Amino acid sequence: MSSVGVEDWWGPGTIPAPASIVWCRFPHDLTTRQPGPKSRPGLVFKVRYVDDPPANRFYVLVAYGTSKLKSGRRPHDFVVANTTMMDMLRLPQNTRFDLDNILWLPWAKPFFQPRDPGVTFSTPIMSVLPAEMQRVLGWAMQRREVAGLNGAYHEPLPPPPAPLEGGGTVRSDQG
Amino acid sequence: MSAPPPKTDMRASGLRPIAPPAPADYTDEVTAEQYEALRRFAPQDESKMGALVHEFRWG
Repeated sequence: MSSVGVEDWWGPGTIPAPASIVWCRFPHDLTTRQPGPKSRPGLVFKVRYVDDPPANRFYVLVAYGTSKLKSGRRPHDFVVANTTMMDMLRLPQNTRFDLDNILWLPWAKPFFQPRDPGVTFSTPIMSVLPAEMQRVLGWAMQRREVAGLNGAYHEPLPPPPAPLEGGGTVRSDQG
Repeated sequence: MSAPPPKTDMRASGLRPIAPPAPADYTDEVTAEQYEALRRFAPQDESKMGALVHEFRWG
């Protein structure tokens, strides 16, 4: 991580809740150690510790947002296009979260930066989906699950049990 | 016998409209090259990460 200047981790008191919307400003060119030219909304699905045993560094699984809605062509994405809801969520534009393109990123600068870094105590977290919208997102994810589109959200399956000579199998948790 | 006085649900006060956020341009989409660069940089295999802190659940 340090090779691209990710020493500036956000602390444990700043991690986003599930279904948070965060400002994500990821570099276009990772070799320059400079943040990307603009921030965009990201929708948080998971948070994990980087280290084992846990330390105060975290990875965040985010889906990236764009205002290019592609209406009717992306039925399995999550779109926020209601003006009142956009205000509540602090979204400046109609936003489509591309649920096919998700990434684990370090919860650190320059990947995540507050919209206004000059404000004391500001963090990259923009808002959290209210409960009703989380239900809608959950339905969208269930629909994706049925369509077989959620593979990237799940941990890799454990390796299959080793076959025994007698035709049985040994479970990995049996030693 | 009189009915008890109505009470105000103060939780609703948290839902009052707020000022629109400042404008921001994110019309573009992340390119395939950008995604690929990020995937190479950041590990994407959960089994190689630390413990789960929390996650969005459905179903």
